[in-house]
Amino acid sequence: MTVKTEHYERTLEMEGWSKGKDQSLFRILAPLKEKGTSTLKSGKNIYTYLPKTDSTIRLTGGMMQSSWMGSHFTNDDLVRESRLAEDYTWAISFEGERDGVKVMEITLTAREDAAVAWDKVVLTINTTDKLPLEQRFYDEEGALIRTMRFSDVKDLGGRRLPAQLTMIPADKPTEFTRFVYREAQFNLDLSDATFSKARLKK
Amino acid sequence: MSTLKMALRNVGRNRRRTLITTIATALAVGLMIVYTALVDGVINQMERSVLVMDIGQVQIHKAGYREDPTIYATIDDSDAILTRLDDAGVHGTSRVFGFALAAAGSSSAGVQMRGFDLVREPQVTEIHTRIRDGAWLDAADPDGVVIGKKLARTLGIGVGDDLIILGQATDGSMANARFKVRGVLKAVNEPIDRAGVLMSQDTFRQLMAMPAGVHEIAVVGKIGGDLGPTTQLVRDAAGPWEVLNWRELNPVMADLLDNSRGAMTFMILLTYSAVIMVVFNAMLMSVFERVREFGILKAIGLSPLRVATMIVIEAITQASVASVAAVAFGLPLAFWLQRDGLDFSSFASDIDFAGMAMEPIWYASVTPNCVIEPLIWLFALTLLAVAYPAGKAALIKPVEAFRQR
Repeated sequence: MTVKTEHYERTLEMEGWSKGKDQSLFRILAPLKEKGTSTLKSGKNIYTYLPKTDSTIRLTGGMMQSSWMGSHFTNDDLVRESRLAEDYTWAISFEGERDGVKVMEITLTAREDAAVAWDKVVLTINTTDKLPLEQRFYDEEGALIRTMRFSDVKDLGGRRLPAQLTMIPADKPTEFTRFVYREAQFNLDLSDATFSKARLKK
Repeated sequence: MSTLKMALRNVGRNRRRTLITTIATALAVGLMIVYTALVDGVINQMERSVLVMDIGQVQIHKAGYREDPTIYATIDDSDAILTRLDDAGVHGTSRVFGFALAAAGSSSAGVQMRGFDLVREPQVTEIHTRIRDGAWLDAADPDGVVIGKKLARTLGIGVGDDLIILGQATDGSMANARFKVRGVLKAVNEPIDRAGVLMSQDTFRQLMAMPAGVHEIAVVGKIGGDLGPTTQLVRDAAGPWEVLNWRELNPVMADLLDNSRGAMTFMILLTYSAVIMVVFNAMLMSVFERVREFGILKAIGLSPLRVATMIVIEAITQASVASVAAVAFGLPLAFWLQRDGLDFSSFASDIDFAGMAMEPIWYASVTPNCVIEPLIWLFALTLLAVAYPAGKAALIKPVEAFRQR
């Protein structure tokens, strides 16, 4: 993960596991200073393990609104990640060619009873390979908050997937958080114990 | 016979009435002197505790920091500013702030870390004296922090316990460290009580990867009196940075103190309306008792003006004697309260009023104003009170006066 902001640029190497939408575990491999720092998402809770102080902390209150590992994602973003199909209704808003690529634009609108972070999500996919190209997130006032770009499609764990995900906050267009997938494996047999607090420390 | 002489004789004639009026007036004015001094003292104390506990008289920030307190909004030339302030004869101290999560055991709370200059802070504020348990920060103990009293309760920790801080350093990394609680504060103000984690500036800089820059410079000059000159002095020293005095920084508190002063004026007016009733009643009675006397005076050719003047002089004479007596017992009492104070510590040792800490001992503050103001009011109101009786006596018709019995 590379994060570039007005004040700093940092690159982290991480490994992570996830099961469904509610369970995931990330661990920092490099730089050395932060090695071993882990984040566990389990349902609505986020736990952080800090090797320097050998402590596990459940993030609460204001900390949920602050940045996850210095990125443009807040801890709250991790928790509120939702299944688009469940929480949104969709409609195809554009179909045709853009910049020489056949694309389909799908506009997702949040269901009224859904507790989601975004009121509207506009998803652009490549009609040929059915892979996402761009995802734009809007708030309840209809303002664009962030854009996620998908690129560098390659073989990951036997699937054709975009290996590079770049998030650009709308109010700071020169900043970004970029995830580059080196390797991926799918359909691993992970038990729920993988996502327990005990596993944070490894 | 001169009007003055007649007036003085009149005062001496009904001794009991004169005595009662004078004593009542003296008592009221004397208590006013004590009351004014005490309320002045308490308000000064409140103002002082607002200032010297934390915010200082004047603060310097980077413009916009107060609205959006990001760790990057720093003042870069704080050392030069502090030197200029020293040269100008006022004390300043620099601070760095950062938000983080504090965890102890299974509880956690959002906190504001405050990195203090351990040499300068005690020269400017008195927060280091507000320790409830344990001790103030010490440069020799970089991992020792001092926390607010409500935070200590929220986290369920006390002196000697561990505290883990987790935040975001300036380089985007996870700032985290284990600290030991060195001290717990008494009530200071709401933000510090609820969320304050105080540490040395060096500790803060290391934790937050922030080698330079400060977020705030707090300045204290002479407490009491006009803020204008001190504000200007700081403005001159601060250069392009935003300079605001405490009234601008905390208008709610400034209003509260002003309102306390207003309430005091109201109380004084209430007391004086009692005084005015006493004087008015006494003078009115003395005029009505002497209606025939005034009739004779008018009949032998005394002008209405001289009659009125005579009565006014009578009133002023009594007020003057009352003032001397009032000062004679009120002033020593006020001075005693200035020295020893009214001790409320048996009721509460740690008074917290409208989110600010208050001393449990109230000291009076004796200024010339405490004496001058009550006396001016006394004479003004005496003149007002005597106007009707004097006018009535002056306009008395001899024939009607004689008919009265």
